[in-house]
Amino acid sequence: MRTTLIFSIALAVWACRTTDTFRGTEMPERPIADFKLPDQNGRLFKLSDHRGKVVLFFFGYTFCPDVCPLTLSTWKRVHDALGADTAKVKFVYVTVDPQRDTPEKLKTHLAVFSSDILGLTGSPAALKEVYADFGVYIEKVNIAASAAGYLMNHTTRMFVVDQTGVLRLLIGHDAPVEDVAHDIRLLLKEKK
Amino acid sequence: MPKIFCFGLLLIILSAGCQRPSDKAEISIAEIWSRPVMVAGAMTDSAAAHRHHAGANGVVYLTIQNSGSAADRLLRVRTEICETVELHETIMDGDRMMMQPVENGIAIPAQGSTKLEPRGRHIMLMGLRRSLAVGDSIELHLDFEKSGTKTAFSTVRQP
Ligand SMILES: [Cu+2]
Repeated sequence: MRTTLIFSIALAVWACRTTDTFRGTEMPERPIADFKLPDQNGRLFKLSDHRGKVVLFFFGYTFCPDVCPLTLSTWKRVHDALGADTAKVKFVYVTVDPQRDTPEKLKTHLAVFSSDILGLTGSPAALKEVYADFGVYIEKVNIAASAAGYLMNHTTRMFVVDQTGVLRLLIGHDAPVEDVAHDIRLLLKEKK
Repeated sequence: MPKIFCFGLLLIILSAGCQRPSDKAEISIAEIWSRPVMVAGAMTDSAAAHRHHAGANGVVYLTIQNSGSAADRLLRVRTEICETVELHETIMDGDRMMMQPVENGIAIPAQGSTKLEPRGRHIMLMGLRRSLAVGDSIELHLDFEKSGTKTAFSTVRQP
């Protein structure tokens, strides 16, 4: 009797220990409105076409040589770490600078990282709706002291949308590769 | 007698020579690298790309060491690889990033070092004239306030 009790407690403790949790920040579950934007290959990306896949979003611009490519090289390593699971994952880089980022510009920029990363641009109006739905902060700053003319301030977090099109996680752009891969795998295990 | 005179003179010269380096900066460059960047063939008209602020950009990170006992300052960087070079800094405000030019150069303390690294300060290469592939080397001329020009080669690598 006593051994049975000890055994069941041990089993319960073990069960709790193996309950896996997300390493990114969980969001109140909210469906992302379906949207369509052209990618770097001249195809139209439609969010609802990717049900059954986990979709990662990052909002950046090719003019940035620092945080944006840093995040893209993290994505490349996440992509490699996922192995066969990448077939069920979409990496989507949405420009915050449609004035400079044409599909051609995105194509050459992203080629350095992975051909599996999609680069989306579009009309400022269409992009604005997407930024608003995700809750992305973007600000254009004119800089007289730089040949750049203007630079973009922007949110650097990754947004993770689950297999049903619901925004689930925010992950810091500097998160370890294994943490990002871990959270994606956890979302892929969900059956909805 | 002349022997002692010579020895005395030597001592004076030596001591003078030993006291002087105290107000000099001794600059050396370490850990210098750049990210790979692809430049499209259509962008060879870099002057046009630059006018539209639409060229491809690169970056240089490095550590500047100063073994001298006077502080120094990196004022500007010159290279043939791109149209314009600027000193920039990325400022993180929570999860928001902003980038801006650094004003008045970058200080390197005496007997110390200054590190330029991701998510901080960087040398920004604007309007690249060619692609930067992993393994490439970029020649840079760094102009310091006190130490003059130092030449360094940045290696392109994917972090
Ligand atoms: Cu910059």
